[in-house]
Amino acid sequence: MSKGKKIVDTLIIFTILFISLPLSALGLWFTDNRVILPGDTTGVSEVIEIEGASKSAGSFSTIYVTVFEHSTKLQNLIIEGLKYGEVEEISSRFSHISNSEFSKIGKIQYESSQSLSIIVGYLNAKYENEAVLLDYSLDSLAITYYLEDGPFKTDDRIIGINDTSINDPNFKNKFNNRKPKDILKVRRNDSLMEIILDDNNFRRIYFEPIYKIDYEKMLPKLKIFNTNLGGPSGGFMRALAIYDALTEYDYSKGLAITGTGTISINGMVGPIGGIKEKIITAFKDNKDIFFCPIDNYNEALESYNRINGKERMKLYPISEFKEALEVLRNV
Amino acid sequence: MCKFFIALKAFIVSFLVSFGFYVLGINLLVLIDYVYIPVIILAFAVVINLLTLVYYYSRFQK
Repeated sequence: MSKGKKIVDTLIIFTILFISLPLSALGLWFTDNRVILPGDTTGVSEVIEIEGASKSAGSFSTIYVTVFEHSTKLQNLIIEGLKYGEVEEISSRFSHISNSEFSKIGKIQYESSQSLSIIVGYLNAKYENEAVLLDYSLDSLAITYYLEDGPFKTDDRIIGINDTSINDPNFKNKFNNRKPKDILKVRRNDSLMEIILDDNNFRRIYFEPIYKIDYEKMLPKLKIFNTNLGGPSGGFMRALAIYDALTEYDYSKGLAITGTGTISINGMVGPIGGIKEKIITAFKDNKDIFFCPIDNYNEALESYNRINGKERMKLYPISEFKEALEVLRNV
Repeated sequence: MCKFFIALKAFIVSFLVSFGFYVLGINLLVLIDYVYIPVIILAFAVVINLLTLVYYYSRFQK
Protein backbone atom coordinates (compact mmCIF):
# COMPACT_ATOMS: atom_id res chain seq x y z
CA MET A 1 0.00 0.00 0.00
CA SER A 2 1.37 3.41 -0.96
CA LYS A 3 2.19 6.03 1.69
CA GLY A 4 -0.62 8.31 0.46
CA LYS A 5 -3.25 5.59 0.87
CA LYS A 6 -1.95 4.82 4.35
CA ILE A 7 -2.35 8.46 5.39
CA VAL A 8 -5.90 8.57 3.99
CA ASP A 9 -6.82 5.31 5.80
CA THR A 10 -5.39 6.62 9.09
CA LEU A 11 -7.32 9.89 8.67
CA ILE A 12 -10.54 8.00 7.93
CA ILE A 13 -10.15 5.66 10.92
CA PHE A 14 -9.30 8.63 13.17
CA THR A 15 -12.37 10.55 11.95
CA ILE A 16 -14.66 7.56 12.48
CA LEU A 17 -13.36 6.66 15.93
CA PHE A 18 -12.71 10.06 17.47
CA ILE A 19 -15.13 12.41 15.72
CA SER A 20 -18.00 10.70 13.93
CA LEU A 21 -18.85 7.93 16.41
CA PRO A 22 -18.69 10.15 19.55
CA LEU A 23 -20.78 12.85 17.80
CA SER A 24 -23.34 10.23 16.71
CA ALA A 25 -23.54 8.70 20.19
CA LEU A 26 -23.97 12.08 21.91
CA GLY A 27 -26.36 13.37 19.24
CA LEU A 28 -28.65 10.36 19.44
CA TRP A 29 -28.56 10.05 23.24
CA PHE A 30 -31.90 11.54 24.29
CA THR A 31 -31.91 12.72 27.91
CA ASP A 32 -34.58 13.61 30.45
CA ASN A 33 -33.62 17.28 30.14
CA ARG A 34 -35.09 20.23 28.36
CA VAL A 35 -33.19 23.02 26.67
CA ILE A 36 -34.58 26.55 27.06
CA LEU A 37 -33.40 29.14 24.54
CA PRO A 38 -34.15 32.86 24.18
CA GLY A 39 -37.11 33.41 21.86
CA ASP A 40 -38.86 36.61 20.81
CA THR A 41 -41.63 38.99 21.78
CA THR A 42 -45.11 38.87 20.28
CA GLY A 43 -47.36 41.92 20.25
CA VAL A 44 -50.71 41.11 21.85
CA SER A 45 -52.38 42.84 18.90
CA GLU A 46 -50.88 40.10 16.70
CA VAL A 47 -52.99 37.45 18.46
CA ILE A 48 -56.05 39.33 19.69
CA GLU A 49 -57.98 42.22 18.13
CA ILE A 50 -60.81 44.03 19.87
CA GLU A 51 -63.37 45.74 17.70
CA GLY A 52 -63.36 49.51 18.05
CA ALA A 53 -60.72 49.47 20.78
CA SER A 54 -59.07 52.76 21.62
CA LYS A 55 -55.56 52.73 20.23
CA SER A 56 -52.82 52.72 22.87
CA ALA A 57 -49.87 55.02 22.32
CA GLY A 58 -47.52 52.27 23.46
CA SER A 59 -47.56 48.52 23.08
CA PHE A 60 -48.17 45.38 25.10
CA SER A 61 -46.34 42.20 24.24
CA THR A 62 -45.76 38.70 25.54
CA ILE A 63 -42.45 36.88 25.40
CA TYR A 64 -41.86 33.34 24.34
CA VAL A 65 -38.82 31.14 24.75
CA THR A 66 -37.98 28.11 22.66
CA VAL A 67 -38.07 24.85 24.58
CA PHE A 68 -36.81 21.44 23.43
CA GLU A 69 -38.01 18.63 25.63
CA HIS A 70 -35.88 15.47 25.85
CA SER A 71 -32.88 17.22 24.35
CA THR A 72 -29.85 15.16 23.32
CA LYS A 73 -26.62 15.00 25.30
CA LEU A 74 -24.89 16.83 22.43
CA GLN A 75 -27.42 19.68 22.58
CA ASN A 76 -27.00 19.95 26.36
CA LEU A 77 -23.21 20.15 25.98
CA ILE A 78 -23.43 22.78 23.25
CA ILE A 79 -25.85 24.96 25.23
CA GLU A 80 -23.86 24.67 28.45
CA GLY A 81 -20.62 25.35 26.59
CA LEU A 82 -21.93 28.40 24.74
CA LYS A 83 -23.93 29.65 27.78
CA TYR A 84 -26.60 30.49 25.21
CA GLY A 85 -29.58 29.12 27.11
CA GLU A 86 -30.42 26.85 29.97
CA VAL A 87 -30.54 23.09 30.44
CA GLU A 88 -33.17 21.98 32.92
CA GLU A 89 -34.05 18.53 34.22
CA ILE A 90 -37.52 17.16 33.42
CA SER A 91 -39.08 15.97 36.69
CA SER A 92 -38.75 12.17 36.94
CA ARG A 93 -42.52 12.05 37.47
CA PHE A 94 -43.03 13.31 33.90
CA SER A 95 -40.05 11.87 32.03
CA HIS A 96 -42.32 9.28 30.35
CA ILE A 97 -44.22 12.07 28.57
CA SER A 98 -43.32 12.19 24.88
CA ASN A 99 -42.39 15.30 22.92
CA SER A 100 -45.70 15.27 21.04
CA GLU A 101 -47.55 15.12 24.38
CA PHE A 102 -45.46 18.02 25.71
CA SER A 103 -46.45 19.97 22.62
CA LYS A 104 -50.14 19.08 23.21
CA ILE A 105 -49.79 20.20 26.86
CA GLY A 106 -48.42 23.55 25.62
CA LYS A 107 -51.48 23.97 23.37
CA ILE A 108 -53.90 23.14 26.21
CA GLN A 109 -52.16 25.62 28.51
CA TYR A 110 -52.30 28.27 25.79
CA GLU A 111 -56.01 27.64 25.13
CA SER A 112 -56.75 27.87 28.86
CA SER A 113 -54.67 31.02 29.41
CA GLN A 114 -56.21 32.65 26.34
CA SER A 115 -59.76 32.28 27.68
CA LEU A 116 -58.66 33.26 31.22
CA SER A 117 -57.02 36.44 29.93
CA ILE A 118 -60.18 37.39 28.04
CA ILE A 119 -62.33 36.75 31.13
CA VAL A 120 -60.03 38.65 33.50
CA GLY A 121 -59.61 41.53 31.03
CA TYR A 122 -63.34 41.87 30.30
CA LEU A 123 -64.58 41.39 33.89
CA ASN A 124 -62.17 43.99 35.29
CA ALA A 125 -62.92 46.42 32.46
CA LYS A 126 -66.65 46.11 33.21
CA TYR A 127 -66.13 48.16 36.39
CA GLU A 128 -64.96 51.09 34.26
CA ASN A 129 -66.93 50.53 31.09
CA GLU A 130 -70.53 49.39 31.48
CA ALA A 131 -70.85 48.58 27.79
CA VAL A 132 -68.53 45.60 28.24
CA LEU A 133 -70.40 42.30 28.16
CA LEU A 134 -69.13 38.76 28.56
CA ASP A 135 -70.87 35.45 29.03
CA TYR A 136 -68.75 32.44 29.92
CA SER A 137 -68.93 29.06 31.63
CA LEU A 138 -66.50 26.37 32.70
CA ASP A 139 -66.41 23.72 29.96
CA SER A 140 -64.01 21.15 31.36
CA LEU A 141 -60.77 20.54 33.22
CA ALA A 142 -58.18 19.42 30.68
CA ILE A 143 -55.53 16.99 31.88
CA THR A 144 -52.00 18.15 31.07
CA TYR A 145 -49.25 16.16 32.81
CA TYR A 146 -50.11 12.62 33.90
CA LEU A 147 -48.43 9.97 36.01
CA GLU A 148 -47.05 6.90 34.26
CA ASP A 149 -49.10 4.48 36.35
CA GLY A 150 -52.12 6.80 36.63
CA PRO A 151 -55.46 6.51 34.85
CA PHE A 152 -55.29 9.78 32.89
CA LYS A 153 -53.89 10.76 29.50
CA THR A 154 -52.98 14.22 28.22
CA ASP A 155 -56.08 16.07 26.93
CA ASP A 156 -58.61 13.98 28.90
CA ARG A 157 -61.43 16.37 29.82
CA ILE A 158 -62.98 16.10 33.28
CA ILE A 159 -66.66 17.08 33.01
CA GLY A 160 -68.11 15.88 36.30
CA ILE A 161 -67.54 14.20 39.62
CA ASN A 162 -69.91 11.53 40.95
CA ASP A 163 -73.36 12.91 40.06
CA THR A 164 -72.27 16.53 39.87
CA SER A 165 -71.74 18.00 36.43
CA ILE A 166 -69.08 20.64 35.75
CA ASN A 167 -71.82 23.27 35.30
CA ASP A 168 -73.19 22.62 38.77
CA PRO A 169 -72.29 25.35 41.30
CA ASN A 170 -71.16 22.60 43.73
CA PHE A 171 -68.67 21.11 41.28
CA LYS A 172 -65.70 23.22 42.36
CA ASN A 173 -66.18 22.37 46.02
CA LYS A 174 -66.70 18.66 45.35
CA PHE A 175 -63.73 18.44 43.01
CA ASN A 176 -61.42 20.29 45.40
CA ASN A 177 -62.47 17.95 48.22
CA ARG A 178 -62.26 14.79 46.14
CA LYS A 179 -61.32 11.55 47.84
CA PRO A 180 -60.55 7.94 46.91
CA LYS A 181 -63.47 6.04 45.36
CA ASP A 182 -64.94 9.24 43.87
CA ILE A 183 -65.87 8.78 40.23
CA LEU A 184 -64.70 11.31 37.66
CA LYS A 185 -66.65 11.67 34.40
CA VAL A 186 -64.06 12.07 31.69
CA ARG A 187 -64.28 12.82 27.97
CA ARG A 188 -61.43 11.15 26.06
CA ASN A 189 -61.45 11.95 22.35
CA ASP A 190 -65.13 11.45 21.51
CA SER A 191 -66.00 8.85 24.11
CA LEU A 192 -67.18 9.25 27.69
CA MET A 193 -65.60 7.21 30.48
CA GLU A 194 -65.56 6.98 34.24
CA ILE A 195 -62.37 6.97 36.29
CA ILE A 196 -62.52 5.79 39.88
CA LEU A 197 -60.00 7.63 42.02
CA ASP A 198 -57.78 5.59 44.32
CA ASP A 199 -55.39 6.33 47.16
CA ASN A 200 -52.46 6.85 44.78
CA ASN A 201 -53.96 9.13 42.18
CA PHE A 202 -56.77 11.10 43.80
CA ARG A 203 -54.61 14.14 44.63
CA ARG A 204 -52.16 14.11 41.76
CA ILE A 205 -54.28 15.47 38.95
CA TYR A 206 -52.61 18.08 36.77
CA PHE A 207 -55.13 20.10 34.81
CA GLU A 208 -55.99 23.43 33.25
CA PRO A 209 -59.52 24.89 33.34
CA ILE A 210 -61.06 25.33 29.91
CA TYR A 211 -63.69 28.04 29.73
CA LYS A 212 -66.32 28.39 27.04
CA ILE A 213 -66.84 32.00 26.00
CA ASP A 214 -69.92 33.10 24.09
CA TYR A 215 -68.20 35.08 21.35
CA GLU A 216 -71.53 35.94 19.71
CA LYS A 217 -72.89 37.73 22.76
CA MET A 218 -69.70 39.43 23.96
CA LEU A 219 -69.26 43.19 23.62
CA PRO A 220 -67.11 44.58 22.15
CA LYS A 221 -66.41 41.72 19.75
CA LEU A 222 -63.00 40.13 19.85
CA LYS A 223 -61.09 38.40 17.11
CA ILE A 224 -58.46 35.73 17.88
CA PHE A 225 -55.77 34.99 15.32
CA ASN A 226 -54.26 31.54 14.87
CA THR A 227 -50.79 31.16 16.27
CA ASN A 228 -48.33 28.37 16.87
CA LEU A 229 -47.52 29.65 20.36
CA GLY A 230 -47.91 27.34 23.35
CA GLY A 231 -47.81 27.50 27.13
CA PRO A 232 -49.62 29.58 29.76
CA SER A 233 -47.08 32.37 30.31
CA GLY A 234 -48.72 35.01 28.11
CA GLY A 235 -52.00 35.01 30.07
CA PHE A 236 -51.27 37.93 32.37
CA MET A 237 -49.94 40.27 29.65
CA ARG A 238 -52.85 39.47 27.33
CA ALA A 239 -55.32 40.23 30.14
CA LEU A 240 -53.54 43.55 30.71
CA ALA A 241 -53.64 44.47 27.02
CA ILE A 242 -57.34 43.53 26.74
CA TYR A 243 -58.15 45.61 29.82
CA ASP A 244 -56.23 48.56 28.39
CA ALA A 245 -58.07 48.26 25.07
CA LEU A 246 -61.48 48.18 26.78
CA THR A 247 -60.97 51.17 29.07
CA GLU A 248 -60.52 54.80 28.24
CA TYR A 249 -57.32 55.43 30.20
CA ASP A 250 -54.16 54.67 28.21
CA TYR A 251 -52.13 52.48 30.55
CA SER A 252 -49.34 52.06 28.00
CA LYS A 253 -48.40 55.79 28.05
CA GLY A 254 -46.37 55.33 24.90
CA LEU A 255 -44.12 52.72 26.48
CA ALA A 256 -43.17 49.27 25.21
CA ILE A 257 -44.57 47.08 27.97
CA THR A 258 -43.85 43.40 28.21
CA GLY A 259 -43.87 40.70 30.83
CA THR A 260 -44.76 37.17 31.63
CA GLY A 261 -46.86 35.14 34.04
CA THR A 262 -49.90 32.94 34.15
CA ILE A 263 -53.27 34.39 35.08
CA SER A 264 -55.98 32.77 37.18
CA ILE A 265 -59.70 33.49 37.08
CA ASN A 266 -59.36 35.71 40.18
CA GLY A 267 -56.51 37.71 38.63
CA MET A 268 -53.59 36.14 40.48
CA VAL A 269 -50.31 36.07 38.51
CA GLY A 270 -48.49 32.73 38.69
CA PRO A 271 -44.89 31.63 38.05
CA ILE A 272 -43.53 30.48 34.70
CA GLY A 273 -40.37 28.84 33.29
CA GLY A 274 -37.48 30.36 31.34
CA ILE A 275 -37.54 33.74 33.13
CA LYS A 276 -33.80 34.35 32.61
CA GLU A 277 -34.10 33.95 28.83
CA LYS A 278 -37.24 36.08 28.78
CA ILE A 279 -35.51 39.01 30.52
CA ILE A 280 -32.68 38.91 27.98
CA THR A 281 -35.12 38.66 25.07
CA ALA A 282 -37.14 41.64 26.35
CA PHE A 283 -34.03 43.77 26.81
CA LYS A 284 -32.73 42.94 23.32
CA ASP A 285 -36.14 43.92 21.93
CA ASN A 286 -35.87 47.39 23.54
CA LYS A 287 -38.75 47.05 25.99
CA ASP A 288 -39.27 49.75 28.63
CA ILE A 289 -41.12 47.78 31.30
CA PHE A 290 -40.93 44.13 32.27
CA PHE A 291 -43.52 42.59 34.61
CA CYS A 292 -42.45 39.36 36.23
CA PRO A 293 -44.39 37.06 38.59
CA ILE A 294 -43.33 37.61 42.19
CA ASP A 295 -42.46 33.92 42.53
CA ASN A 296 -39.86 34.29 39.76
CA TYR A 297 -38.52 37.64 40.99
CA ASN A 298 -35.23 36.47 42.55
CA GLU A 299 -34.30 34.49 39.44
CA ALA A 300 -35.36 37.40 37.22
CA LEU A 301 -33.36 39.90 39.25
CA GLU A 302 -30.25 37.73 38.99
CA SER A 303 -30.52 37.73 35.19
CA TYR A 304 -31.50 41.44 35.08
CA ASN A 305 -28.48 42.50 37.17
CA ARG A 306 -26.13 40.87 34.68
CA ILE A 307 -27.37 43.04 31.78
CA ASN A 308 -25.21 46.00 30.77
CA GLY A 309 -27.34 49.14 30.62
CA LYS A 310 -30.22 47.44 32.42
CA GLU A 311 -31.54 50.84 33.64
CA ARG A 312 -33.19 51.28 30.22
CA MET A 313 -35.73 48.58 31.14
CA LYS A 314 -37.58 48.65 34.48
CA LEU A 315 -38.34 45.35 36.22
CA TYR A 316 -41.45 45.04 38.39
CA PRO A 317 -42.51 41.99 40.43
CA ILE A 318 -46.26 41.39 40.26
CA SER A 319 -48.49 39.09 42.28
CA GLU A 320 -51.86 40.09 40.90
CA PHE A 321 -53.40 41.77 37.89
CA LYS A 322 -54.53 44.93 39.69
CA GLU A 323 -51.02 45.54 40.99
CA ALA A 324 -49.80 45.96 37.40
CA LEU A 325 -52.53 48.56 36.73
CA GLU A 326 -51.36 50.45 39.80
CA VAL A 327 -47.76 50.39 38.58
CA LEU A 328 -48.76 51.64 35.15
CA ARG A 329 -50.87 54.46 36.59
CA ASN A 330 -47.88 55.71 38.58
CA VAL A 331 -45.16 55.15 36.01
CA MET B 1 -16.17 -8.70 -6.09
CA CYS B 2 -19.31 -7.56 -7.85
CA LYS B 3 -19.95 -3.85 -8.31
CA PHE B 4 -22.86 -3.87 -5.86
CA PHE B 5 -20.76 -5.10 -2.95
CA ILE B 6 -17.93 -2.71 -3.82
CA ALA B 7 -20.43 0.17 -3.79
CA LEU B 8 -22.02 -1.10 -0.55
CA LYS B 9 -18.65 -1.35 1.18
CA ALA B 10 -17.61 2.12 0.01
CA PHE B 11 -20.99 3.50 1.08
CA ILE B 12 -20.70 2.01 4.60
CA VAL B 13 -17.22 3.47 5.11
CA SER B 14 -18.21 6.89 3.74
CA PHE B 15 -21.39 6.90 5.82
CA LEU B 16 -19.47 6.02 9.00
CA VAL B 17 -17.11 8.91 8.38
CA SER B 18 -19.83 11.49 7.74
CA PHE B 19 -22.65 10.27 10.02
CA GLY B 20 -21.43 12.20 13.07
CA PHE B 21 -21.40 15.45 11.08
CA TYR B 22 -24.98 14.84 9.90
CA VAL B 23 -26.04 14.26 13.51
CA LEU B 24 -24.19 17.40 14.68
CA GLY B 25 -25.78 19.48 11.89
CA ILE B 26 -29.31 18.27 12.70
CA ASN B 27 -28.79 18.76 16.46
CA LEU B 28 -27.67 22.34 15.81
CA LEU B 29 -30.33 23.06 13.23
CA VAL B 30 -33.11 22.94 15.83
CA LEU B 31 -31.08 24.81 18.44
CA ILE B 32 -29.61 27.98 17.04
CA ASP B 33 -30.86 31.00 15.17
CA TYR B 34 -27.79 31.21 12.93
CA VAL B 35 -29.07 28.65 10.44
CA TYR B 36 -26.01 28.99 8.24
CA ILE B 37 -23.79 27.23 10.82
CA PRO B 38 -25.70 23.90 10.78
CA VAL B 39 -26.24 24.23 7.03
CA ILE B 40 -22.48 24.57 6.53
CA ILE B 41 -21.90 21.51 8.75
CA LEU B 42 -24.52 19.51 6.81
CA ALA B 43 -22.98 20.58 3.50
CA PHE B 44 -19.57 19.55 4.86
CA ALA B 45 -21.03 16.13 5.79
CA VAL B 46 -22.39 15.67 2.26
CA VAL B 47 -19.01 16.60 0.73
CA ILE B 48 -17.10 14.22 3.05
CA ASN B 49 -19.67 11.50 2.33
CA LEU B 50 -19.33 11.86 -1.46
CA LEU B 51 -15.55 12.24 -1.49
CA THR B 52 -15.00 9.12 0.64
CA LEU B 53 -17.58 7.22 -1.40
CA VAL B 54 -15.86 8.04 -4.69
CA TYR B 55 -12.38 7.43 -3.24
CA TYR B 56 -13.19 4.00 -1.78
CA TYR B 57 -15.34 2.92 -4.71
CA SER B 58 -12.46 3.52 -7.10
CA ARG B 59 -9.96 1.95 -4.68
CA PHE B 60 -11.99 -1.21 -4.00
CA GLN B 61 -12.44 -1.75 -7.74
CA LYS B 62 -8.70 -2.14 -8.29
